[in-house]
Amino acid sequence: FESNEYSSVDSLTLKKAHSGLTGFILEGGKRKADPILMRGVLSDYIKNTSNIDYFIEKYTKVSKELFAYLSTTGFNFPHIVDVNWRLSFHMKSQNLEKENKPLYLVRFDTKKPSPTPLQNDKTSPVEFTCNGWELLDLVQKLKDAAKQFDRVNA
Amino acid sequence: MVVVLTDEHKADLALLRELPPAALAEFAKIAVEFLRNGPNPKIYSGAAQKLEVSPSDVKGAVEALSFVFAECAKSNITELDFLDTLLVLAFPQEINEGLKNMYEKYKKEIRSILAELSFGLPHYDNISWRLDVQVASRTLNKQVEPIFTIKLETLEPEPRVQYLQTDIVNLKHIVAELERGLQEMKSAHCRRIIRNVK
Repeated sequence: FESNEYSSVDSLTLKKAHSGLTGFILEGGKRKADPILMRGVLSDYIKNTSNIDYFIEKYTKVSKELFAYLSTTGFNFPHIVDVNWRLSFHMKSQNLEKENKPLYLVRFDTKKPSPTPLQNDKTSPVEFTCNGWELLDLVQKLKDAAKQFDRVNA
Repeated sequence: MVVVLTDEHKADLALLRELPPAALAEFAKIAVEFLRNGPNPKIYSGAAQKLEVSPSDVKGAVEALSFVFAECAKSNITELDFLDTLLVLAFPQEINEGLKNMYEKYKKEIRSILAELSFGLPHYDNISWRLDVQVASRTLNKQVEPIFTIKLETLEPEPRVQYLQTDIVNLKHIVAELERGLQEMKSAHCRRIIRNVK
């Protein structure tokens, strides 16, 4: 905004215009407004139709991306994106010998919603151990959850 | 395998030779208490008075007995090996039998006390889920996004609750992957190892 193009305009007005335009775009995005609605609102305030056309053209181009971006902005629990497992055999430890039990180590990789889509904001992965029965219980519960979803969806 | 007892242990345990079975059971209980909570001088002096020996003798006997129990429980040795361990002390048969019964009785408990000594990794306790559909948020009205919220309880060893979420695609992927993990335990390779490392 410091460049010569805008030097003729008062900087306060410029800032107000910029924030007004940004707010307008975000409100339109929030309501998933189609370009026709946006054009109708704009024409009440701006008399220059070529400017309106230019703006609507740009809006139509980015609207899909805008909606997608707005849907991810917000707060969430860490979102599980991947799982990793490892099966090992626990034989003995410093204080206790002859354990001889199989042990699973499971890790969920999670991702927190990020301010910009490009930023990779991974929270610390969730790790835990379990034996065979507990893993079976875990898998059965999650399988049930997926099945319920399919049932609702059908 | 047999636990090796040093001369010091044998000397300390000599006190147990003369005891009636009831006192023997008492001693075993005090030994397990010693493993769990540490020394308790009041009990030692009480026992010393009853048996007419010095408290330090009682203390030595308790510590030696708890050493025997702890080492035997650590390696999970059989009753026969336990009796072999006691052979070197040249106790009368009833004392050996009594000690063997005490060992069987307390073995599990001693093993769990020893397990507490080493570190534990976070261990799975419970999982529960709920299915919600996100309808709107501050930044975007008119959404339809199904979200699974998951409550994962683990013991680390203190109980800890974590809330996570996922969507249907990731959930199906997780289920498929973990089922593959479960299959792995039933494979021939795994069974062979479990069988041969006993």
